[in-house]
Amino acid sequence: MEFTEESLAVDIDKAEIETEIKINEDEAIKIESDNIFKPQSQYSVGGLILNTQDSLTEEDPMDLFFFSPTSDKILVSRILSGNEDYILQLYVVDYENGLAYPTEFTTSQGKLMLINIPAGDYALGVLSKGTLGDSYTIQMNASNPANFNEALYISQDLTKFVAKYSDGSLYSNGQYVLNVNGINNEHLNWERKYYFSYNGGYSQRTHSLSDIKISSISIPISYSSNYASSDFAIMVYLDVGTLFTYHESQYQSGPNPYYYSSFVDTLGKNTPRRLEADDFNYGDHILINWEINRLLQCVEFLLCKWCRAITFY
Amino acid sequence: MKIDLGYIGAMVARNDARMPSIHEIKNPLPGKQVEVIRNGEAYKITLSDEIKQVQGLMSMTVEEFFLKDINVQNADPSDIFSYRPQDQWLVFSQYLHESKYFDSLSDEELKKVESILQHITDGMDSLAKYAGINLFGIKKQQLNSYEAHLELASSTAALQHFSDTFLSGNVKAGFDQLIQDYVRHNTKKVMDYQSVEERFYAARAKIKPLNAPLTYEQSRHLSMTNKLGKTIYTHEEIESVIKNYQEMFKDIKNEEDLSPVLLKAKEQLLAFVTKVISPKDADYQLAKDFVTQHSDDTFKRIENYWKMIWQGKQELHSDFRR
Repeated sequence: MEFTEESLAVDIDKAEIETEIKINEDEAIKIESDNIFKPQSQYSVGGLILNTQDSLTEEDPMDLFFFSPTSDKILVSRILSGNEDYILQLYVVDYENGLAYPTEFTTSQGKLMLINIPAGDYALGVLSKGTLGDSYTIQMNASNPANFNEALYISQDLTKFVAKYSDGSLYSNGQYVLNVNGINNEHLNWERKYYFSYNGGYSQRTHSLSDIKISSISIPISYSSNYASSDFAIMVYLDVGTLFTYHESQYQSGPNPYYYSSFVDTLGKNTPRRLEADDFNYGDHILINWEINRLLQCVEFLLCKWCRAITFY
Repeated sequence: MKIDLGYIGAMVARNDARMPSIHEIKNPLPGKQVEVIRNGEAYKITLSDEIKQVQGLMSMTVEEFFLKDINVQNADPSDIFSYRPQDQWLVFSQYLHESKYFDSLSDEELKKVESILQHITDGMDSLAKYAGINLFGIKKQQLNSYEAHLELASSTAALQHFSDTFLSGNVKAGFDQLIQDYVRHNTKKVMDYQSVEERFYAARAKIKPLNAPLTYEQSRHLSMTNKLGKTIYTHEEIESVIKNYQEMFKDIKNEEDLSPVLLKAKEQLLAFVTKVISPKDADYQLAKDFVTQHSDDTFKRIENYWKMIWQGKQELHSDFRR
């Protein structure tokens, strides 16, 4: 699903927009068998996510991808290849003594390797039990804490993984997103201010949401607007009880100066107030959480008065 | 048939069965030294061929992993497709695997058959309520409701055509029964289904119009989407349009039949979506263009998987057919 610019209001501060997460395909340190190593390149997700292609040949019969999680993680990995002989094997690395040992954990082409791994030093080895000469894709995600309870989303290239834990917390690629039980969600508080000045006057509107109550979250969606885009946005559906404030004011100078101020929202209710059941008759109230704790957008039907006037129409 | 959560395709199962034991796997570079940088420091690492038992490494089976899938946790035990809502082809594949249908196929033929099934269910797979573990998605673009109605009818007919083309005897009977389960599962889903975009337009259409400055293009778009957003469909209307599509797709016997059926289906779809907009209304053509553009992917996907069936029929060896 893709939102279009006309379907959603946008209020974000352009300066705060980060570029979309890009998975760098060479993020893991890759050591070729000829001892020529490739340097680690820039990587924005901590080096524990990998989706890259290579091939095995007679001269290069094995590739190793090194990684070092600093806390316990769930490793999800697989190789895909037209060559059914290719296999994946987990190695443990002892840097102190300069040794890498194969482990009993292996998997065939297409099958997932799934291991809760303690903090430490590891490598994934790609080798063949038969023929060589074909390319392969190796995919790995070891960014999320170990022992998750629920897999909310894993993308087919394994570069995106949203997991839920027993305390209700949600992690997306190793980053804390929110807690479905309403704990530690202060970072979801949201505010939008519009201010327009004109000849001797101004007009401003402010909307804010705090004490966020969550009814559900969406599947990750693609999102694009005039100001930002992401292929990994999560919509947070707000629940009854979320605190909402609306304020608008206008001022016009001159011989008869005019000032207007109101805390009455578009449904005619005084704010600050908690969202009530009948607020949902107009549709869902949604915050869009973009990748890592970044509130990209609020699609809030109480705000539609303003949305329509600006970019929402 | 009981769902096997460890099953992720016949080809993977075949590869897994060929996997040698750990002691048979030969390290191609024993004793070889490689260089690696860790925390900015260069290390020389020698590859040992001694298998290390490491404490604290806890492997998980694929089945255990899928037990944590949000779709599985919300599955209905009486509905086998609810365990694989975004990879419904896996249910059909598991059935054919357990029925030994794949045994006579080469790796290439097996991949082809699985690919056909995957493409057929791909549209309905996008209706999954939860994302969950997504290992095989082709292009999970969320369908609009009117596309879902069409896709349900087309994919059902395509599965039946697949069955009629490639299967026979008891295997076919079991597969046909699964198609009925597929229809039951997906009909339930499409009846009250709306895409996020449709829900948004429906909600926005309820808001009282405001005197906001809009461009001409914006005003037209708002007016048109408000009309679409206000359109209500009863279950009877939805059932009826799906039935109409089913009748159309039933007529497909070979490749030449496809184009005219798709043209008819497109007319039906446009009439259904624009039912409350008069052809004299200025928004009528705009709405038709909007819906045509939005449903283009679906028509292309449908055309593609029907063609895959006929192509597969030509390519697969005749000795395993029937």
